[in-house]
Amino acid sequence: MSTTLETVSDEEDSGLKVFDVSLVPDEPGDEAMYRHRPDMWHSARELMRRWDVMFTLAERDIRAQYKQAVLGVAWALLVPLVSLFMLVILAGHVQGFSPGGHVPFALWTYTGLLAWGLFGGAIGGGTNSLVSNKALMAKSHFPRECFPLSQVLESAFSSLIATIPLLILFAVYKFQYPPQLASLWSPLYLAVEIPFMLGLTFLVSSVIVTMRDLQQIVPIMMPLLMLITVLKPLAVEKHHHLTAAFITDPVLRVLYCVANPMAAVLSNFRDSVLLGFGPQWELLIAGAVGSVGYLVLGYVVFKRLEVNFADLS
Amino acid sequence: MFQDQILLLGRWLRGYRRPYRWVLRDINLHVDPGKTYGIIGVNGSGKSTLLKMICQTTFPSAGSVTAVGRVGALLEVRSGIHPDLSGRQNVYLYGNIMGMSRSEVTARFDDIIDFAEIGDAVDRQVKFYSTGMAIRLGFAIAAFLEPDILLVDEVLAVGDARFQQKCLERISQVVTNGTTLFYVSHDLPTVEAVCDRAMWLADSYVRADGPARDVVSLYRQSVGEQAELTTTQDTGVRLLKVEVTGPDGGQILSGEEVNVRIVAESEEPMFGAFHLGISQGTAMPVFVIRYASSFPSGQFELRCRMQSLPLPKGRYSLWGAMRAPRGSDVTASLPWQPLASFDAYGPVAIKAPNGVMVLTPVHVPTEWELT
Repeated sequence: MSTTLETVSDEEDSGLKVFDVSLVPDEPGDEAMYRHRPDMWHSARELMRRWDVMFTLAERDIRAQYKQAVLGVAWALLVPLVSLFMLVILAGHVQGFSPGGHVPFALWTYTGLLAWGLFGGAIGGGTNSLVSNKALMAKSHFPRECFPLSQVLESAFSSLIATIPLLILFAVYKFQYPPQLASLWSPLYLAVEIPFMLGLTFLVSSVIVTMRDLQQIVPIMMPLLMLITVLKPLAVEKHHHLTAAFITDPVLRVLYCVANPMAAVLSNFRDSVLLGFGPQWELLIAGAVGSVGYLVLGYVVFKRLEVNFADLS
Repeated sequence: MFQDQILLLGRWLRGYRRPYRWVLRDINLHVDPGKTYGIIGVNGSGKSTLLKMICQTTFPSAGSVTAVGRVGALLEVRSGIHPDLSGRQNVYLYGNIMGMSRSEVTARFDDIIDFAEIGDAVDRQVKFYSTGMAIRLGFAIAAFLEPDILLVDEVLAVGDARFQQKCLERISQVVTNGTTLFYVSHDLPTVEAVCDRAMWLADSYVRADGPARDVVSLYRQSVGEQAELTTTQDTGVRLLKVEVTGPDGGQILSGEEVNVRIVAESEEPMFGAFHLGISQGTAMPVFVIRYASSFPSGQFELRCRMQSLPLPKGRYSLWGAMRAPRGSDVTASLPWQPLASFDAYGPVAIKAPNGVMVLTPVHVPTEWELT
């Protein structure tokens, strides 16, 4: 049977166009190729415009997470307490391990866990935020940053709840070691933590879309990093806890803080809240530099890989 | 276990890159606001990819896509619904992701719930919904977003007939309000019912572009041709000759008699039925006729005279099958396959009102009177 394309198209003059596919070139010309050049300024504006999506997604995840759990939101209290219990048992076997000086180990550790929890929660949740939301990504083209950012918000929510056990711990020790006035420096430490947290979340969540190996690596690395950062204090002479000092060389210490800004944040946060010291500026500034570096790196990588998200996740 | 990875790494280092395939090529498409545009083609021809690019969730490898206004997508309606949240929470979540503020969603909330017909179940978790309820909810949310551009991909295949009709009505209402519609479906009658213009994609190329009815009829013919090419296996009955002719062996005309002559050969004598059907190219006939008898082994000739052909002008296929009744020990049979195709001449099919599906055009001689 012969194709009768021509006769059919002649029958009615209605704008029907039948194409000869053999005329189409195999490859498009080089000038037509699409180059993804993310416009950061435009992206940031778009993100501001669709700010609410982030909150909606965070709300969805929080609601879904605690729905049908018998204890509900109480889990946000229990999870950090269980980690604390774990660390107390772990460190209890080490004779004379008292990195916090005269401050009780549980209090010292929990303060660190609180600061770490915000970071760890964001990374843990953010890792799979793009991969597990493929269905939503296929629906609409709102900024993709909303997915990891919603996990950061969720982590902030959990951390807020996790401050309650800290207050209880202070009470358990009958306020013999009360929070110090220097706690008021905390927003500054938070300001150093946030860019690091955002940067790493962007980085991990976007790379994992093409490299699923991270799905195995991140859950192993995070507890390891937590143990190092929470249990190993940065030794600073004036702060009296040289016994378990991690790095004593001042130059190495600063470099370490650039690589792991959380170490600087934790060290300062604990010393301020529990011991009443002001910021150790050289560590904090190193941490801030590293932190901003991570943010820039993470965001650039995220925007670069953005093209693949809907297809590969 | 890691040999594959090591091999791949070695090839990659030597400059080997994964071969790629163009899913869409040479697409030139401009659709004016308020128009409806259908996209048809077999599975894997690139229809959904094209929609994703219009939706801007997938980026083209070459070229550019510009969509002006808010884009709403009805792609796999169920997939955006979160099973652990209640219907109400899902409406707000989905609406917000599609670009509506909370107050905009609130304003439409009752309409959405009414349309989805979920009633008291709004505050129940979606995982306890029936499949139909979840799909209705998904469709209702997207259908009431009033986007500037609405993308619809194969969603009407789900849901019962009444809901399908309701969805079609809603779609045409949205279009009347000025929304531009892109409609992807394998259900050709709905494409004809909904779309002004259509594009036929075949293996990543645009084969035809034009008024929906013309493109759909071209596509139907091609499906018929494909089917003729693929059925060749020998199952005990061989067709030798098939002829379809009009009155006195001439042209086939609407409302006139049609003669079918089939010469075939059977390996064994069989008692069974010979079915004939006329379709628009697809395997789904407009009507079926049947002749039951005992057929001798060897060559036989079967003639059939239809007194009046109830079809409008167009190109049709004659399909046929021959089967022994169930339970008999005759193994010879003829599977359902296209036997011949023919052009019928006569009046052109009347186009149904917008939004109404006509399954297959049938020519019915009518006399009207207005007094």
